[in-house]
Amino acid sequence: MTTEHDRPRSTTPAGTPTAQELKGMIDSGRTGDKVAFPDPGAAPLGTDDEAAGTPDTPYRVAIAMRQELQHGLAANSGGQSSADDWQCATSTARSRPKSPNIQIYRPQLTSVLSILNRLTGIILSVAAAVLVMWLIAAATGPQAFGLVQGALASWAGQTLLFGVTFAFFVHLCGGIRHLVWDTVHGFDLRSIYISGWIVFFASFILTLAAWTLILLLRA
Amino acid sequence: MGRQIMRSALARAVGLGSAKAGAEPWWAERVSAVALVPLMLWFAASIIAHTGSDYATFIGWMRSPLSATFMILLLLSLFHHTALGLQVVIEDYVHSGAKLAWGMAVRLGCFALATAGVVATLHIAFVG
Repeated sequence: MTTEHDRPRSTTPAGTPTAQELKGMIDSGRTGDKVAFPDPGAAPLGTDDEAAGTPDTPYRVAIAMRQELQHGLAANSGGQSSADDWQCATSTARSRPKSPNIQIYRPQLTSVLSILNRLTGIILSVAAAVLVMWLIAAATGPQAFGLVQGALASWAGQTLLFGVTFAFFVHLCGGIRHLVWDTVHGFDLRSIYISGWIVFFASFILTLAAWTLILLLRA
Repeated sequence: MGRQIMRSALARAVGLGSAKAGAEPWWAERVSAVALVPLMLWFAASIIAHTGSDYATFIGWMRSPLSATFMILLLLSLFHHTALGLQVVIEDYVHSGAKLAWGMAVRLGCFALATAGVVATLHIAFVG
């Protein structure tokens, strides 16, 4: 679609749009991600920079305006007049990325451990259900117990048990880290990374130690 | 355009007073976590110690009052913690109407599993 909409519209001479102008466009709903409603604080857009004495250059404002308006127009089906743009833009929400944006951010130790704590919690919930089945089998009698023990002793069972052991130690160590945080300790960046690496390595060491012990006792 | 509510969420909540129970699930999650640290370590150590034990030996261990007590405490705190944890996961990721159904399923499932586990433990302890 090549219409006049592709060019940043400007009322200032010589195509030098201002941040104020762009803010007005967003406020009036022209960019499609906001209902037309005047709220002075919603889009500071460059006003902080201006206050700091380092306003955006007209060139950068023009880029921002082009970006904002293209998104807004892409959201509706090619409006003919600016009145159409206005209506379509206000009714069609722009598909901006939503929080927590994990598809954008580079994985970090902190975020990976946070996700792992949840994931291991879910895995351990399933394991808890297996624990109950195991207890019921034990209460039922030697035959039922042997059946469950046999399933757990199979390669698939042992692999799953190893995974559950690792999940358990990750959740245990991560949980203790959370309990320490709850006492309002260890919140500075350095401590957060130190405790993070401790959780990471401790989980591996404890899992390997547990299984070494199991294999030694079996031999 | 439909009726727009001009008052902010804060303005609508101010003056109504706190529900006084907001921190309860958060606190209960911590209490159960603290209980689970020694209980799970006891369980892991006991299971490792029983590597290669036959059924009779294992049941003999489970029948001791100490083991049965620890096992029941473990089951109660484990499923309390599980229900609270999964509740948070559901609240964070399920936004459709299924949220209520999932929350209910988790709560009832944890209740059922905890009860079944406790009954099995008591059965082993008293019946064998």
